[in-house]
This record gives sequence, C-alpha cells and structure tokens, in this order.
Amino acid sequence: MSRGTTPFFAVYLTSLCLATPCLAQQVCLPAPRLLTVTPMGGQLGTTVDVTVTHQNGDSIRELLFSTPKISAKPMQSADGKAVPNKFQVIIAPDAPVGVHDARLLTSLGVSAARTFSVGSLPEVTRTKENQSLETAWALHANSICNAATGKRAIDYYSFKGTKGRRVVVDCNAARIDSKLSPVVILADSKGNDLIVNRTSGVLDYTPESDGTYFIKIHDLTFQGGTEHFYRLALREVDGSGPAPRQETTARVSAFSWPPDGLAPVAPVSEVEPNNQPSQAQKITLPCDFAGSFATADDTDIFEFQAAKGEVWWVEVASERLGLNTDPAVLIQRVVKDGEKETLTDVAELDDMAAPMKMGTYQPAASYSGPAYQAGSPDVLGKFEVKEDGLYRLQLRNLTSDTRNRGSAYRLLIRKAQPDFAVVAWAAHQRLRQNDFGTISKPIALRSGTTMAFEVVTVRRDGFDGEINLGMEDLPPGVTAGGLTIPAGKVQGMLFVTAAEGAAPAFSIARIVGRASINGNMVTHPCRLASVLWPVDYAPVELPKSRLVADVPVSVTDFEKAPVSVAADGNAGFQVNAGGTLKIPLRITWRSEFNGTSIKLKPYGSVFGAVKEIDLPIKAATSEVVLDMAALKTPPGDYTLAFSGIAVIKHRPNQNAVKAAEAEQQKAGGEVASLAAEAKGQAEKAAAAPAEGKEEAMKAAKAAADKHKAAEVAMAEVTKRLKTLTDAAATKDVLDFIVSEPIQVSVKAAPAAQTAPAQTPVAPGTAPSGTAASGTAAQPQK
Amino acid sequence: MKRFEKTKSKTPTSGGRAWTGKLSEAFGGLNLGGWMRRAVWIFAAGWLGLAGDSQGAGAAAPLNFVNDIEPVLTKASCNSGGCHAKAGIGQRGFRLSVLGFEPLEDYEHIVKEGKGRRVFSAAPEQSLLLLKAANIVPHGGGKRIEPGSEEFQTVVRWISEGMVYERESDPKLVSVEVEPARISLKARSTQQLRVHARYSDGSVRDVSRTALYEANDKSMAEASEEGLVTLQDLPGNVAVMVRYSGLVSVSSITIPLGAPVEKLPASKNFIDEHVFANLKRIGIPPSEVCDDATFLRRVSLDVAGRLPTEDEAKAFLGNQDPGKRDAVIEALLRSSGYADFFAGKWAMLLHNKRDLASDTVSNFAFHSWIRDNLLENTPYDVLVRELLASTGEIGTNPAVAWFKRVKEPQQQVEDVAQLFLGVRMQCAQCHHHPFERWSQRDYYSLGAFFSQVGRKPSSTPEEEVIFHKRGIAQAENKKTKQQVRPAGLGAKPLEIAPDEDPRLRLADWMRDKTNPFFAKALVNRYWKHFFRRGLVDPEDDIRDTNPPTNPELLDALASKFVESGYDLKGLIRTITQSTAYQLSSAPNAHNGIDQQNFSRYYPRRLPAEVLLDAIDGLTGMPTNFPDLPPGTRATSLPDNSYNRTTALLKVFGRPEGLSVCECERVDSASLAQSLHLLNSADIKGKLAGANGRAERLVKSGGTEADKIRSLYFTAFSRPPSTEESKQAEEYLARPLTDTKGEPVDPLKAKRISLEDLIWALMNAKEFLYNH
Repeated sequence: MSRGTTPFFAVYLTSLCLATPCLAQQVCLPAPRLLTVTPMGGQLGTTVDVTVTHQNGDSIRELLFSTPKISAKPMQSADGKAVPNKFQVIIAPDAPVGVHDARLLTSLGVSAARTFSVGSLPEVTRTKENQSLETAWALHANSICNAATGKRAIDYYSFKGTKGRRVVVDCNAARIDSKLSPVVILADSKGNDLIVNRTSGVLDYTPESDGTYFIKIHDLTFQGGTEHFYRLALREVDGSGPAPRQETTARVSAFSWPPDGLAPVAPVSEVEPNNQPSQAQKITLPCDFAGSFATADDTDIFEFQAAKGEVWWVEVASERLGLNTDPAVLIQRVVKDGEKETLTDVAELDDMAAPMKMGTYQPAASYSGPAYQAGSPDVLGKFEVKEDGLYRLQLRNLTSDTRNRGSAYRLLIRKAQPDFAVVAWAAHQRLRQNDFGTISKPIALRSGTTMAFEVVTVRRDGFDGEINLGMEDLPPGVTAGGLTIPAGKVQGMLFVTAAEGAAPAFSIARIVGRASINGNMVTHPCRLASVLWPVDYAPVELPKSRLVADVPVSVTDFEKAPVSVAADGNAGFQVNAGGTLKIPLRITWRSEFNGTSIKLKPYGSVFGAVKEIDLPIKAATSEVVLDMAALKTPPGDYTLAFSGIAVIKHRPNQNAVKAAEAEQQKAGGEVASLAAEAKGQAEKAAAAPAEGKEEAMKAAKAAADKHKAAEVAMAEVTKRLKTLTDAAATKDVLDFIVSEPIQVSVKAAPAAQTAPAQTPVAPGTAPSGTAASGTAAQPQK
Repeated sequence: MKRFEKTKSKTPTSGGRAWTGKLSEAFGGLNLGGWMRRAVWIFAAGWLGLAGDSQGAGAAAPLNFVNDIEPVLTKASCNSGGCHAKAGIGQRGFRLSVLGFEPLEDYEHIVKEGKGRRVFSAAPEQSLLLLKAANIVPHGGGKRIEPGSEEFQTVVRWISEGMVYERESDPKLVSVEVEPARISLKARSTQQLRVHARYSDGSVRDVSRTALYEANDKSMAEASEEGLVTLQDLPGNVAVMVRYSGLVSVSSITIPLGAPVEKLPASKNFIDEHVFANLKRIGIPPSEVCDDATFLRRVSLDVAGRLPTEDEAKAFLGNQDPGKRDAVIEALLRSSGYADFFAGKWAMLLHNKRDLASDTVSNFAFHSWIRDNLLENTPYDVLVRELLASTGEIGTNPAVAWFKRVKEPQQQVEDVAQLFLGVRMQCAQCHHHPFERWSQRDYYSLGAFFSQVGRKPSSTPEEEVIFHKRGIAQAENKKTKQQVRPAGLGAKPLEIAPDEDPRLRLADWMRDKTNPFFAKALVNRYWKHFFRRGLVDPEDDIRDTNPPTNPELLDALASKFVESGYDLKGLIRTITQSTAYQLSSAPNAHNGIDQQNFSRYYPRRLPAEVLLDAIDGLTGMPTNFPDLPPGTRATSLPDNSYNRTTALLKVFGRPEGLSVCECERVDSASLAQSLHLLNSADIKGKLAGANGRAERLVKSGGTEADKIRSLYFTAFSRPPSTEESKQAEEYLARPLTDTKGEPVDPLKAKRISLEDLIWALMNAKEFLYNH
C-alpha cells in the first residue's frame, strides 16, 4: 500500500503547489470583460431587467448587443440616478431567435462578449434558494428558467407531469458560454432519480403517471458560482421526433461551413439500410446528401460510377454542425467477377488539418499556442479516378456510440469549386507561467496601440492563391495592416493600430477575405473567434473559445499605449532583392518600465531571421536592418512587425482619479459656500424680530440641511476618491508590445546586379510568406 | 492403489538396505546416508509398480524427452517459476520453460546448450543434470531427485539411449484422467488418486507418481506429492487438480456432513431448489429463515449499501403484508442507493482512481456513467459492449475513461478476461497457463481485439479521443513472433474486415448465448456479493481445475441471466428473493461448520463506505467530503481520492482502484480498525458533535425507553429486547461525577451517557456486521 501512496502524494502535493498561482505580477493591461448577464436571455417582445458583472468595466457607458433588435438603457433609481450594473433590455418582437452577443462599452472601450439568448418561450429568473427537495422551484411547462448553480450545490425544480405526455428538459450551459458542465436528473415525486444526463444537458421523458416530478441540476464536479449559469427549458412535446434544443453558439471550426451557395437543405437523403455493400445506396455524382450516423457499427455505403480522369472533392460536415462526431470516408474501386468482388482502396479521407496547431497546457509553462481549433474531425479531400468503373464510398463516424444516439451529417461530392474561408483571433504570445489572462481579448484599443491577430484559412478544392484581407468600417483613427495570407499558406497576420491621437470611438467593423479564383474576385467575410473567459490558471480551467457574432472595435484615450513603436515616416519601404534596407524606428514612451531594455522580435517566417532589436528603455529612435541577401526574400510585398515583452509600471485609471479629484474640489466648494450660507441664515434668524422669526428660523434650518447634505455628498466623493486612488496605485504589469506594421516591398534586383538577387531558391524551400506571384510587386513609394 | 500403499509400507525393509549398499557402490562409495532409504523404496516401488501398470506403452520402448523426461523435471519442480523457469533468465544460466510447456526449448537447453555440458552419454549417471538434481554436486535448489530413484534411472536410461527428443512414431499424450474423478468421502478420510495418461496409439500409462496434485481449498483437503488426499473436517465440495505433462484433470470430492435433513424451508425459486438439493445430498440441514428485521437490514445493506432508516425499519416490522419482502427488494432496486453502491464497486474494478487533480473530471464522469447505467438498468451485455467498444472523448462518452486507465494491450486482455470472463490470463502472456488450457496464442488472440484502438489528442489535457483505427486486427504472439487474428477464448479466429471495429466483435462474442464465460462470471461475481463466497471462489478464477461448489446452480443462474436479457436488477431480485439468501446466519446443531454450501447466511463486516455511512447515520453527523455537496454518502464517492481525506475509509480497506480483483478490498479485521472505532478523534467528534444524535436526543421529548428504542432501530433495525432496554435505561439513569467527585449537570450527564450508549452500539458486532 505504501508504495502506491508515496507517488500519489508526491503528485498531489505538486498539484497543490501548482494550484496556487504565484502571481507576483499582473499579466496584461486591464481589458474590459463582460462576465455575466443575468438573466441570460429573454422572450421576444419583452423588456427584461438584467444585472451584469464585469472585469475592468468601470465607468460603463452602454450595454450593447450584436443585433439592433435588442437595446438596453441603464436602470434608474427613484431619484433618477443610474443603478450600477443594471439595465432594462428591450427585445423587439421581430428580434432574431437565437444566441446574440452582449458587451459593455466602458471607459477602456468595448468589452469581451457574453451570450444573450432570445427565444419564444416565457422566461423567469430563479430568485430564491432551491437547493433541497423542499425548496424546489416550480417550473411551468413550456418556459425557460435562468439560474446559476452554487459550489457543492444541487438545484431542485419541480413540475407537474402528466401520464403519457412527453416532456423535454433542456439545460443550456456550456454552449452559451457558461462554465457549468451540467448534470440533469429527473426524479420521481420522492426525489428518487429516474434518468440522468451528464453529457448533453437534455432529458426526454414520458411520465408513467400523473404527479410531481423533480429536476435536479448540478455541475459534473460540483463547481459553481455566478459563472456557472444555465437556461433550463421545460417543454411539452408532441410526437416522437428529435428533442427540441435551445440555440447555441458556434464552434470555431464551424467558420469553414457551409461552402458558398450551398442549399440550406440537402436535396437527397440517405436511405437505410445501407450498411452492407449489397445494400449500397446508388448515387450519381455530383451529389449533396443529408444522412445520420447511428450506432458504432453503422456504416453508410454509397455506390457510383466514375470515369477515368475525373477528380471529385468530398466534403462531410458533422462536427462543424455542432455534433461530437468524427466522420471518415473510404473510397474503393469495385471490380466484379461474377459473385466475386475485388476491392481496391482509392482514397481514405479523414480529419481536416488545423491550419495552426492548437495550444496545449504544459506544466510549468504557458499555454503553447492559439486556443482555437480551426481544423475539424470532418472531412475535406479529393479522389482522382484512375480507371472507369464502379466505386463505393463508405462513411463512418469514428467516435460513434454503441447505442443509437444518431448524429446528422451532410455529404457533398463535387467537381472542384475552389474557394476559401477565413477566421481571425487575437494573437497570444507566450509570456511566462500563468499568463492565461492574455488570451481573452476584446478589440479595445488604447490610442497608440497595435494589436496583432492571427488569421487562418481553410482552402477548398485546390485553391492555393493569395488571400487579401481587408478591414472595413473601422472607427476613425484606426487602421489595419499586414493583410495577406500568402499563396500556398494557411496562416497570416493582421495588425490593427489606433493612432496616437485617435479620439474615443466605437464601431462594428468587418474583416473580409478577397481572392482571385479562376479570374473572378471572390469575397468572404472573415469570422472572429474569442476565448470565453479570462483564465487564471490553466490546469484548473482550460481556455475555451467560440466564434463571436461580429467584430466590435473601440478606441479609447482614457488610457494610452505605454509605448508605441513605428517606422519613422511609415509609408512603406522598398528594397531590391539582395540589397540592404535600414528602417528608422520612432519610439514614443508614455509610461515607466522596469528593466533597461525591451527585446523586439520579428513576427512570422518571412522576416523571422531578422535580428532581434534590443531597444533601450526611453530610447527615442532605433533602426531595423534588413539584409535581403541573407534573408533571401523573393520579390513581393510584405509586412514587417515586431513584438516584445515588457514590464510596465502601470498607473491605471488616472483619468478617473482626476475626475474624482475635480468632483471632490467642486463638492468642497459647495460645502464651503453652503456653510457660509447656513451661518448667515443662522445669524439672521438669531437677529430676526419676533414677527419674522419663524420664517427666518425655517430658512436657517433649510440652509443648515443643505449644508449637511453637501457634507454627506462630500464624504461620499472623498471615499470614492480614496478607493480610486488606491486602485490607481502603480502596479507592475507584464504585457507584450506590438509595433505598428511596416510595409516592405522587395523588388527584383536590377539587371546589373542580378547575381546576388538571382540566388536560386530550391523548389520547396521558398521561405513561407512568399507573395502571391513571386514576381515584381507594386512599389510602395 | 492398495498395492501402492503396500509398497509404501515396505519402506524400512532390509531389501531397501541392500539396494542402498549397491547404489552406494555405484556412486563411488559416497556416503548416501539416511536419505537414501527413501530413494530406494521409491525406486523399487516405481520400478515394480510402473512396469506392471504400463498397458501397451511398452516398458522396453526407448524413452523420449517429451513423454518421459519432462514429467520428471516437472515433478521435481526444476521448471517451477522460482527455479529454472524464472521469467526470462532461468537460474544460474540454466533455463527451462515454466512447467515444461515448451519441451523443445528445454530439450535444446539440456542437450545442446553449453556444448552439451549438462549431459554425458558415456557415463549418464555423471551427467551434470543428474549430479545437480540429486545434489551430489552442490545445488542451490537442494536435492530434487533421489539418486537411484526411478526418476533418476529414467533420466539415466534416456541419456544412455541417445537422448531422443521425440520420434515421429512415438505416441503422443492425448489426455490425462484421474481416478476417482468424482467421489463422496467422509471427513477426515484419505483417498489415493491414480492418474492415467492416454496416448495417441491407444496405450495408457499410470503416471500417478510423476503427476502433480493440488487441492483448490486447502482447508478442506490436502494432497500429498504421491497423490494421497487427506480430507479435513469441513463438509462440501473440494477439487484436487492433477497436472501431468501440460494437461490437467480434476478429482471432485464431496464431503458429506451426513446429518439428517428432514425439513427444508419453502423454496422460492430455482436457486433454492439447487441449494437445498446440494444440502440434502451432503447432509447439511439449513438454518431457519431469518426474521424480518434481519432481512430488512441485510437486504438494504447488500442492495443499496445502507442501513434502513428508523422509520423504514418500524414500518417494515409493522407491515403484515406477506409480500413485503419482495416489495422492499423492488424499492431498493429502484432507489439511487442501489446504483450508487454498485457503481462504487464497479468503478474500483475499472480503475477509476485519481492520480492527478486533472483526473477529477474524468473520474466523476466515468463513475457517473456506470451509476446512471445501473440506475436505468442497462442490460449488462450492452453496458460491457459500450465500455469495451467505446469511442470519443470523456466529455461526450465517459466510457472511454477505461482506455485511459487500462492503456496497454496486455492489461486490456488481462482485465477483460478476469473481470468479464472470470478467467485469469496473466500467466499466458509468457507461457502456457499452468492450470488451464490457455496458451500464449489464446492470450494474444484476445489482445488482437484491441489492436485497432486509435488515440488522438483531445481538447482536454491528459485525455485522448479513442477511435477505431482502420486496419486488420491482429497481434503479435511474442513467443512465435507470428501475427494472430482476434479470437474469443476457446473460439475460432475471426476474419474481421479492416473497417469493422474488432471490439464490437469481441462484445458480440461475449454476449452470445453460447459463451461459456461471460454470464457465468457475472452471476458468480454477484453471488459472491450477496453470499460472501462465490460458487466458484475466487470469483474471477473460473477454470476446470477450480470447479463450482454447486455447478448446477451456477449453470442455472447463468442461463437465466442470459434469458433475462442480461438484466442485472433481475438477477439481484432473483438472488435476494430466494429463501437461500434469506436464511438466518445463526447456525443450527449441524451447519456451523459449513463454509461453502450456503446452509446459512455467512456474516461479514460492513464494507468501509457502508460502515462510514452507517456510523454517520447512527451518530447523526454526516462526513463532509471535500468539494462534494453536504450529505453526500460515502457509497456515492466517485474515486479513491477520498481514502486520503477520510481515515476510516482507508483503515477499513476501501480499495484504491489499482486492481481488477475484488480482493483489493480488505474485508478482514485489524487492530487499527478496532482502535479507530474505540478512540479515534474522528469517531469521538461524531459522537459528541453539535446537533449530533446524542444532543438531539437529550433535547427531544419522550421517555428514555423511547430514545433507546430509537437507537436500536437505527443501529440494528429492531427494537431492543426487554433486557437490553432495562440495561440501557439503568445506564442512562446513573448519576455521573466529575474528576473531583462533584455531580455532573444532569443534562450534560445524560448527553455523555447517550454518547456512550451510541458508542457501545457502534462497536457491537451486530452493528459492524451484515448478518
């Protein structure tokens, strides 16, 4: 026994040590984040009183939604003052049913988003404790209850069940951003558990008798808190069709689905039985199928004729529809000789590779990469027909259940229709252990700041060309650069910069991808993905992400960027291949920093070999030297940007302190003048003759009351100033600094100097990030 | 047999002494001393006896290694695991296969290895093999073969004949038969076994001397090296395994008690028919059917792992409905307590253990998956199929957790065999199973079902996505280096298409009605849960050489289980409804000695979790488990991590989920357990806890008798007897004084006395045991 105990304890102790993050420094400058909205949704055509919680959301100005059909105004107390963190949300009767994004506009800019659901069922918010059978909260059929679980707690609900009347209980949580991993239990009138779901939050039950039934909700590991919220829908459902579910957010992988122009509903459906070759469903190509996976041994087999020389592209969507599936396709050529069949594998198509490897947690290190899964277990690939004949395609779900809990899929087999889809997310840079706070980022720019984004693409049907990215509808003073995913590549960078003098502004921007495909310019919107929650410590909680509804961008001068690094006269630079380019840098310092210098490293692989810049703190200028002979960068247009890690002596909220100081000064003035007034009135009253005495006394009392009220207000202002002053104390904040992007145009070397420029680049060894054509690019100057 | 015994009685004869002298000469005048006397009689007896017994094998026929030498080495334990068959290395450079299952290899090692130094044809007696075996040259293993013995001479002759391995024409061993194969014998009697080996040419040899003998229950019978079985006092069935040259046979011996079985309780179902038929056959009268209180307590503990509440016990005793016992069983099976209790049992066997904090989600999910399936009464075959063929990741299909814990193919084979088939395959990984027919081929064929388990990273750290990797299912036989196809135990190899998940075919084979292991293993496991002892015991060691004590009952249980559609609740219902289960644990005049025929209920200590819950209930002070809702019962705990936070669980042997064997759960008593109940801070805290039962009783109304009654119902599910009540009342009424001799405040004194009374009840065997 002791042999088993020792390592366990060793590991356990290690875990305990790790479980207490040793955060000596704050990581990342404060970013506003909307944490919870309670209730988490509402019914069409109603007005809902909501309460928000937030992080760094001081001085909230507005609560905004991703649809104009939902609006909010601050709730006011009886005396007309705004009640902190409370809003009246008005949901228009024609608002789209589904999940929308809510966010705050604060003095630091726009916050990270939180879901807000809109549905057609009446909704309530649980308002009292319901953690026992006796205190169960009564649910009405066909309604939604908004609530959150507590730690180590079980929430109880009751409802009246009718014999033979099917009910569906649907607890929506993780797919509306909640941290809750819901366990949903349906129990009889005595509280004895009848059925349980711990994986998808839904229970489908037909009572065997009339009576009271209970629903119990808790987290899988009994975690809880306001961030463990859920929307519990109880529906009476007719028929035996699939249980209705509430709307959910989309996974990041869903950005690549559907292909452009796909019919919402497939024209053909799978016909079972088709598990055996002899039952293969006969199809003709091209085709667009809807089908479903059943049990683990369910294989859907299709048979078709194909001719030599044809190339067919196969795409399957299932995981990207939000299901937990892993489709796999096998195509075989069938040669029949009487009863005998010979099968030859032609193609095996499996997962869609991730354009960027998703990060993982590594002990004693930071999260290793993006927290976004842009690849998918779905299928996208081709097969080339080498010979005329009969072919068989079999489709399986590699992660099927052994019991039938069917999952839908869509199968497309088409001739090449080259295309692409793009998604972007705020880039994360490894800082050090426990830096997970960096990866939930709204696009809330401080003036003078540049923010870096990673943009990845899924390319369809052989499209290999350059993808140009554009950002539109940016707020005034905000620009975007670095907008290319090079030909043959799946990843690019995007840099968004708020000018130093940019005034506070907010807009819903758009990112688009454009590419020339077969001579046509094709444009697709680029989706934005975000991490759901700030994560303090990954071993306890890993970053989870989703697609957000749109691209909100704000700029603030409430705080400015601690430092800005830009090319001096940044209008683009030009260099001949093989030549040398010196780019002067201008550095604007607005904050104090720890240490003596900041090391700036170049982004990406094109200029990855550019020497790191050691930038002394407070140096006003610096220089980048590009030795194109050493870099061997082929001609083309490129974006160069740097990033580095710095410890900023951050003085947060100075403007709020100043405002409070001004307020205090004003209040002090008022107190003094009211004191004088009160004193005067008192003296007047004392001296007043008997007939006017009463009136004078009244006036004196009124003046004294006013003075007293002003003193109370003054005390409040002073108290607030103290709080703000304390909060605004200088803190060391570790953050990463991004330079403004610098446009560099590499030209083919002039004829006389061809020798160094013509250094041959072996096929397949061209540096990544090569411009589309590889030939002369347009000059920047 | 008689002749053999007669021969034995001749041991100290002068003839023997004469032989000693001659042999002494033969060994160059060595002083052979006293040990030689035994060698001589063995030699003489064997020579004479075997010559007469060989029927057709031909005494003069040349010896071969396989038929004649390997059995000698095995009998002498040369090729036991501790000696020259030590895994991989043998002993001091000389390696033999375990129990001679690889005769060709052994032959090579003896005859050819080391330039043939182990054998010496010119003077066979001087062969190193013999000099060592007889300890003539110092031998670490001591003397294994007597010089001059028949075995000695057999080896000498074989060497002198040219050391033949096996001629093509030589007869092959076909079967081994023991006589008597089945017999009924009185306790304390003896029986000589005779073993015959049948060969392919029809010849039969008496190999009684070289066969090995082992009883499956040494408390019932002992078998000597010569095959003489001596029975002990216990009545029942015992099996003596006989092993010869890679084959086994069994002599089943029934030891009747022979007491009159005149009156049997009424049979409720087929279980009773089989149990009572057996009792009648061996003459053990069963105890009476237990009283209602005992039944309620017993069945609540066994089905739901908890004591009946005071109210439940009172209501049950007051209920006059003749069907009330069945009704209680139904209610218990419907309760989540049943699912919690049995999920705890299965979760440990399926290794749901926490090594890292990051295991938490997986462990909760997997435990719950088992529990929810039991609650819904998922058919056992479906449950196992879902487990063994699970795919996906923990968040959506918690069953894949098993593949996280049981990662290596060899552990998968061994766990599946032991847990779901009741067969221990561990030995067969490296060598032929010594007591069974399982070879390495069987081992790797079973492993081939898991050869296509694909793994890829999931979004959760430390967790993987499990999927079926397309390809031909096969596994390499580590011995032959050949690829073997998947095959169920004793079944033909399967041709499985590359697209088909072989694990599904394994599950199909398991649940097939004709599968000889799957249903039997489960019903035997559950039988043990309710009766303390399996029909085959240990419950996961089902083999021909360890036969069931009531084979007809085991067969009937298994076939009914299959017929029911593998209905687990149905099986429990059948078992608990039977009169056999409901017999009193109090022995009658005859059956106190019975330990395997289920003539009475065998009491056993409460499992750790059940005991903790029972103590919590009695003291009114629930244990607070980290991060779980208040009121969580110990029987609902998802994994082993709580053994570290709650001392009682560890002290009373709650398993850690390390082993697939139920034996990991310690059910024996220990001093630590007694001390824990008597004077641990934990128990003291529960007894004296604020708002605990003692305090509540002090504050409550009612008479002292009511309070005592309440405590007895809570602890024992019965009212106190008049005497017990009187004693307790006297105890509660006695005045207390403090250390200075001053009278203690009456309320405080009452509370102290109540705590003492609860403490005493808790330490009573009636409380600690299910009886």
